[in-house]
Amino acid sequence: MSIANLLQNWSRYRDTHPYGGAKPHMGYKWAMAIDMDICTGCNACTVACYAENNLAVVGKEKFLNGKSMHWIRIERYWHDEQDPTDPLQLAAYRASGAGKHFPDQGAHFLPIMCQHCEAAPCETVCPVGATNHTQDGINSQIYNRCVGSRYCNVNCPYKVRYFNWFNYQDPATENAWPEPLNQQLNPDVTVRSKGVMEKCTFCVQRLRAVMVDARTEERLVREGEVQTACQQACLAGAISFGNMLNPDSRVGKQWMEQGVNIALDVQVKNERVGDNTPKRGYRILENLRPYPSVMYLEQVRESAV
Amino acid sequence: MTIKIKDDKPFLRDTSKMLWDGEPAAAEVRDISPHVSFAQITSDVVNSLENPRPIYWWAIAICVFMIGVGVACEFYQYRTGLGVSNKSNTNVWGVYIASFVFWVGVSHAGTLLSALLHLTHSDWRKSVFRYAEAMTTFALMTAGLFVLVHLGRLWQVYYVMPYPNERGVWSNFQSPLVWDMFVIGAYLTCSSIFLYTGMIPDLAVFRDNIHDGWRKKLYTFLAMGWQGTDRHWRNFRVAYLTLSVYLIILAVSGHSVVSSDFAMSQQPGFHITSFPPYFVVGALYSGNAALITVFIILRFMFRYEQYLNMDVLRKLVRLTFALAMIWTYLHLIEMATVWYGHDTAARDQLYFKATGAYAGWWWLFNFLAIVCPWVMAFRRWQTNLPVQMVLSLLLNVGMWLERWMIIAPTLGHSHYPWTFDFDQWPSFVQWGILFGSFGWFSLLILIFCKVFPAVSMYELKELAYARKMEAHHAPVGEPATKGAH
Amino acid sequence: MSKRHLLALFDSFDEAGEAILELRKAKFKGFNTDHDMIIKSPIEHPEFERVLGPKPVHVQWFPLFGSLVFSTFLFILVSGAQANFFEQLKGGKPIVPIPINLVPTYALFMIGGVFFTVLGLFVCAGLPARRVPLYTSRVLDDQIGVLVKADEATLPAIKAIFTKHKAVEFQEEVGK
Repeated sequence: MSIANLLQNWSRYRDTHPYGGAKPHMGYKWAMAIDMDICTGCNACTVACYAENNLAVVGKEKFLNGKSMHWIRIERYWHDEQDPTDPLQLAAYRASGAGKHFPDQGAHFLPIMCQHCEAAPCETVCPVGATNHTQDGINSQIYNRCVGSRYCNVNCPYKVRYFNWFNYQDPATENAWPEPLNQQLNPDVTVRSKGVMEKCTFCVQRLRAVMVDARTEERLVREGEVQTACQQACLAGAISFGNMLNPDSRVGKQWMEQGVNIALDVQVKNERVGDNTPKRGYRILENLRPYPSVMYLEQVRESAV
Repeated sequence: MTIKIKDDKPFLRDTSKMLWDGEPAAAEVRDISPHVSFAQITSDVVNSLENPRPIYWWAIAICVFMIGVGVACEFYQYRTGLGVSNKSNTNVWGVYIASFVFWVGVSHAGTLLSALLHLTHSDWRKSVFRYAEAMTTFALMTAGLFVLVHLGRLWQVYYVMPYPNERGVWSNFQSPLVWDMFVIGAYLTCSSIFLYTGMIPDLAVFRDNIHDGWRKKLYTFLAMGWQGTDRHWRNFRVAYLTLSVYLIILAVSGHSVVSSDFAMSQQPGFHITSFPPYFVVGALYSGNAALITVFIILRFMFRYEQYLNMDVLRKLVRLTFALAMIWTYLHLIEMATVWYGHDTAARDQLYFKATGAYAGWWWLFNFLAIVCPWVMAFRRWQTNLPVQMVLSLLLNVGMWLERWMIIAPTLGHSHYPWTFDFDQWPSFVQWGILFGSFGWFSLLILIFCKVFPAVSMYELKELAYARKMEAHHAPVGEPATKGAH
Repeated sequence: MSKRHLLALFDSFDEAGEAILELRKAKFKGFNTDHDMIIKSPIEHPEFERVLGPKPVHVQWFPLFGSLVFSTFLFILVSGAQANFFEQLKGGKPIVPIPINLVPTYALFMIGGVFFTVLGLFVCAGLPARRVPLYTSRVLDDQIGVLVKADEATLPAIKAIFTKHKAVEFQEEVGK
């Protein structure tokens, strides 16, 4: 039984990601590239995500209290005198609410969502196995398995996991969508219950729909057949998303062009190789070796150095 | 219910007469007064079941009130959602996990005192180890409650346990939380067994001295027909020694695994190699301080002045001081390695603890846990009951703050500056449940001491016998050496 | 000839020990000093117990067995359970990560040992036990009891030895 199973398939059980006996993804490796040099910080992606994925709108008070549910958030950074890493300044911004405390220009925008790491720190620590690495390279979250220990959030270096602090599901409570707003909920996506962790899924409901279609037609999903909600809403086209294993995919080409290797923790950013254009691609907090599936593109400017 | 106490019949009356003329001076009491007879030990402990001082009942009432506060808070949180505890997506843990670590820590002193000192034949443990073991068990039960309170979906907690099911879904054995479940579960099970096994001879004494009521039935059942025969003692001795060895290893691995909840994550401020020994020693430290608190309370409440005496207290205080110094060393080492290392995130995190939003609490905990124990170094304060009472409470406040300072500033100041969040002050729900947990723990201890022997009779008798023999300058077991083959 | 029990109570280990030694030397007919003599005492006294002759203890083999069985069982269970999550890697780690499985294995090593120690205690010490004839609660309080089982004819001689060594009290089984 299980011992026989173990012995027969031993080598498969010892596969790791993303290097060293790595198990190949089964035809798909969903990945993303976000060009921050194009991003205008318009927040359309965030709004689209709220609409697509039934994200709870928590209101100003809970938002300032750190209980927001935005799976994709736009972070703003200023150069010059503003130092976003200074906790005191940041706390002052946070506390200031809607007041204008930022300069009118010099902003940089960083849309950040779950990075779908190949070696995700959140996955190993979940006591119930509610979050896993799927065969198509997504960091999945199983809501009805989650018990809400919140360890995944503690171990997530990007803090892109959001917890249901209140009951946003039950219409009887004050926190749920009031009538008739509950009519606009996406029927393809569950409304998460109280006490579970949630995060960006790369719009897995869309992916699964096209993957099932493709499988019935005995092919792989074609480039452009599926878009995530944030990608669809991005007016500048800063977000590209697709199957990295597909040689036609834009995202795969971008990764290749930037020399960003999913199994490396240091990229060749800013090195001028080949055609003398500087490489712009990098991934956030690569040094921690979670091997994220989201590549960011930004030229390092003189002023920022 | 009537308790029959037999006449005071001093054991080895004639030898003790040879030893002392009149009462020995207080300084001459080594662990136990040599004038204590076996029958007196029995009658004192059996009497402790019946007539505690009136303050006992006040304490019970206060504990029940505290539990009520905690239960009300938990009920509110259960109905509304964890949001009422005022955590945020950055500060996802808080008082609950800090208190979990704290209570697991309190549990460790009992094992150290009982098992480790048993192995090393430190006789002074004999008067304190029983209630220390009970504290181990009850502190673990309290710690377990915090895991439940902490969960977002408490009603699904059984997912964490590996149980066979038709879906083939198991808990994730890679998670330190599942290790916790295993190791803390093992520790709780084994410490309860250890407590019970060590109590069997005493329960037999209760069985023989109490003649009716529910107590008689309870003790008759629990004593399992113990009659103190040589066969019983012989096997008991080896079994108890074996259990001690297992318990020591379990205690060390227990808090090491709790520390791996933090050390295994990559959060700066958690990801520190020296956490396991740091946690284990911190646990022993705070647990020993809690032992002193309970020592003083039981001594007064149940009139145990004869057994929980000043000599034992002095040794307990010295042990606590030694542990405090080891812990201080590990604490400084932990900070030194972070400060000296090249991990900027961890170093910023350390600076933040010392200078940031939680700096006041951080320095307070350093003062309470590092500076305050120095009072214990002075002989004149070592047996001063009010001083030790206040001091042991302060040390535990310091050690609770230490656990909170591991969690609150660290989560607020992670790798990712955008998510820094320093202004999450725990709401009344978290404080209420923490408050309730103290009531729960104290209630369990108080009930235990009223129903079971809070000091071990047979070990005290051994201690008294050994002291008498030593004083008599007679090698223990003289006929035995002749009789051996 | 029927066998009967006799319980003698002593005030000290020394006196009881002398009495037992003399009994062993006396070699009464039909009285096996290794099996027919039981000491009851309120405290354990390993050195004193040696007067009864060599009495081996086997409790320590139980935890060895328990620890090994429990830990082996758990390691196989955990590995087999992980193998159910066939295609779902966690954190890039292998599906069956050996060092990690050793942690719960270690915990079960302890549990198995503790359970079987207690089991061993119960088996070897014969607990839960019925009370032997001639039980008195004083042996758990402050007196040493020596319980012998001998032929009716030899009992007076044994009793004389006990009396010689300052036995303070006797209890005899009532004859049929």
